[in-house]
Amino acid sequence: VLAVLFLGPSYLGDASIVLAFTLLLNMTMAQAWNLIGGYGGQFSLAQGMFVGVGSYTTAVLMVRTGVPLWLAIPIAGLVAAALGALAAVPLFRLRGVYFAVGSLGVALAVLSWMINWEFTNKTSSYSLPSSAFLGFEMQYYMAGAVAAVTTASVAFIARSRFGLRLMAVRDDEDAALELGVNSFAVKLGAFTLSAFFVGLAGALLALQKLTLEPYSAFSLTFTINMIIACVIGGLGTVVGPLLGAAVMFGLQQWLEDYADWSTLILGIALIVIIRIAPGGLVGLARGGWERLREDGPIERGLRRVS
Amino acid sequence: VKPIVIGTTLPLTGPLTEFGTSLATGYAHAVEEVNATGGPGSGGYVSLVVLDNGTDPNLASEQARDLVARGACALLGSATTQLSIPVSVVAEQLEVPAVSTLTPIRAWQSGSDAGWQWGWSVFFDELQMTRTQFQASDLVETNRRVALFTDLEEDGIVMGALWDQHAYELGYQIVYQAEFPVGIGDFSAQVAEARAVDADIVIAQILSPDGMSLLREMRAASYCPKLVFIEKAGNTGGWTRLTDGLCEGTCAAGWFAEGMGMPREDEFIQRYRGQLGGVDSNVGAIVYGYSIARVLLDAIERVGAPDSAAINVEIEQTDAEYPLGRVRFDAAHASVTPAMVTQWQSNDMVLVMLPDGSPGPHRLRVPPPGLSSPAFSSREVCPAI
Repeated sequence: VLAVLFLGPSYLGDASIVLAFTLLLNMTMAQAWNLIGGYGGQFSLAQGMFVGVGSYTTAVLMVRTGVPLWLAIPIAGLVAAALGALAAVPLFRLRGVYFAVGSLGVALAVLSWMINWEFTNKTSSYSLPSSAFLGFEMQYYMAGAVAAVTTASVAFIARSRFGLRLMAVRDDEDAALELGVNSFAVKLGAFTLSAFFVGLAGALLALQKLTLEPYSAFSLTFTINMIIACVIGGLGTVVGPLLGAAVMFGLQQWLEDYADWSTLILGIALIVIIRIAPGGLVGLARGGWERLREDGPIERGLRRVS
Repeated sequence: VKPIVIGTTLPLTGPLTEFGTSLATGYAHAVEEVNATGGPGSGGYVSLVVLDNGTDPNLASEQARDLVARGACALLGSATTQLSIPVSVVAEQLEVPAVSTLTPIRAWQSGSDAGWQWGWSVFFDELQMTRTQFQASDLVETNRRVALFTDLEEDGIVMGALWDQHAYELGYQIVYQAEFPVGIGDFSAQVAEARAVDADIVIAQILSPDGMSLLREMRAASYCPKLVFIEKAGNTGGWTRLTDGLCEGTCAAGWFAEGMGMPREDEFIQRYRGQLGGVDSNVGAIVYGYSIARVLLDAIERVGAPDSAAINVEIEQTDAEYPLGRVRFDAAHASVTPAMVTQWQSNDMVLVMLPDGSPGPHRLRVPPPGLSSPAFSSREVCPAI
C-alpha cells in the first residue's frame, strides 16, 4: 500500500494528485474520529473544529510569527491537541447523548468565537502567504505521510494496553471502572490524540486553500463526513475508516453531476449500508469470510457425519 | 469533434440559490449562443459542466479542482466572496483562468496577497457602492440620521465599516449600529433602539431570512423610516413575494435595471421578465453571468483551442461592450462596473438613482409603502399571491 502511495505522482496527473490529496485528508480525519468514536465509543461532534484550529494556527504562525512551515504543521497539531485536552476535561464529565450534545456545543462555541475574533479578521478572509503553496506533489506526499502515521498510530493503539482499556470503557464503562481502568484518563488521551491528528489534517488543508474563513474552516460537515466514513467502513476497525472515506469520496465524485439528487442518494446509500451491514463494509467482509469458512469442505463433511 | 470544456461550481442550493441559478442561466445562454453560431475556434463546440456546491466554500474548492481534473480549460466563477475566492485560489494553483462576478471587487482582491494571475472579476467596487445609499438619501428630505443593521458575514463587516466612514464626509450621522450573527431571527430590541434614536434612514447588509425578519419587526413596531436600504437580501429575486409585499418601497444598490441603456437591455428584459415575474436582480445576475461567459468564450474564440495559458492572456486583452457594459480589466484583473440605486416597486427593481448620483427614470417613493401604509397588503403588488 505504501509503495502504491509513494509512486502516486508517477501515474497520476496534476489534477488527480489534487483529488488524491483530498482523499488522503478525508482518510486521516475519519481515522482520527475512529479513535475516539470507534475504539472509544464516544460520539464526539467536536472533532471537525480541530480542522479549523489546525488551519488557523498554521496561518497565524506563518503570517504573524514567521515560523517555518515544517515547524508550523506539528505546532498546529499540538495546539489542536491542547485545545482538545482542555475541552475534554468538562466534556468527559458527561456520558452518552449528553457528551455528544456537549461536544457539539463546544464546536459551536469555538465557531462563534472565531467569527467575532478580530485577531483572525472575524469572518473576513485570512490569507496565507503564497509561499505556503508547496506544489501538488509535495502536498500529496505530506497528506500521505499524515494519513500513514495516523493509521499506524491507531493500529498500534488498538493492539496496545491503552487500546484495550479504551475498548473496555467503550464496551462497559462501569465494569471497566470496577476493574481499575481510569476511564477519564483513557478517554482524555484518545480525544487529545484524535484532535492532534485532525489538527495536522487542518494544517495541510490550509496550505492547499491558502485562504481561510471561519464558517468553512470550522464547518460541521467535516465531523459529519468523518462519522459517515467510519459507519460505512466499519467502526472500531483500522481498515474501515479508510475504506469508508474512499467509498464516500467515490460516491461524492460520482454524484457531483446529479446535484438535486446527490444528498438523497447518499442518504439512501447510507441507510442501505447500515441495514445490510451494521458492522460496515469491514463487518460485511468479515461475516462473508466466516460464512465461507463455515461452509468449507471439512465443515460440510462434519455436518454430513453428524 | 472533441468539445472545449469549461466548468463552473455554483450555489444551486442553499442560501445563495437565487444567485447560483441565475448565473447558471446566464452561462448556459452564452454557451448556447456561441455553439449555435458554430462554436469557438475551428468547428469545435463548448461543453459547460455545472456543479452544485450547495453554498459550501469547501465543496466549491473541491469541485473547482475536480472540474479541472475532468478537462476544463477554464472556469466560470461562483457568486459572493465566500465562494468566488476559493475558486480563484484553485485557478491560481492549477493555472487555469477563472472569470467571476457578483463578488465585490475589493473583498475579492483581498483573497490574494500577491495579486491574482489567473483569476478575473467583473463587479462593482464597495467604496463606490457604499456611497450610493447616502447619495440617494440626498434626493429626499430627511433628518440625516442613519441606523445600520449589519450581520457578521465578511461583507457585513466590511460594508458596515465603509458606511460608518462615508457618513460623516457626506453629511450624515450614524446614530445606531446593530451587529448580529446570521440567523438571529428576532430584531425587536434592535428595531426599538433604532426607533428610539429617531433614525430617518435604515441601511442593512443582511441575508434574506434575516431581512424578512427585520422588515416584519419594523412593521410590527410601526417603525417606518423615510428610506430603508436592504442590501444583499433586497437583491434576492422574487423579494416582493418572499416578504409578502413588505419590501415595497425599500431600496437596494443594484447592478442592472431597466432604463440603463445597456447593450441588448431590451432583449434580455423581454426574454426573462416573463419567466421571473419582474425585472429584479435575478435578471441582473443573468446579464452578468451571460456577459462574463461571453468574455471567456470570446477569449477562447480568439485562441481557437483549449489552451489555458493562451486563454488567460486573451482575457487580459478584453476591451468590448457586453450587456453589462464595457469590460476592460485593470492590472489587478478587475473590471469595475458602476452601482446604482434601485427601489422595489411592485415586482420590479426600478432605477431611482444613476451611478453619478443623479435621479433615475423612476421617482424615489418615500416613505416605503410596504412599511408605512396600514391598508397596504401584498395583493396590491403581488396579484399572484
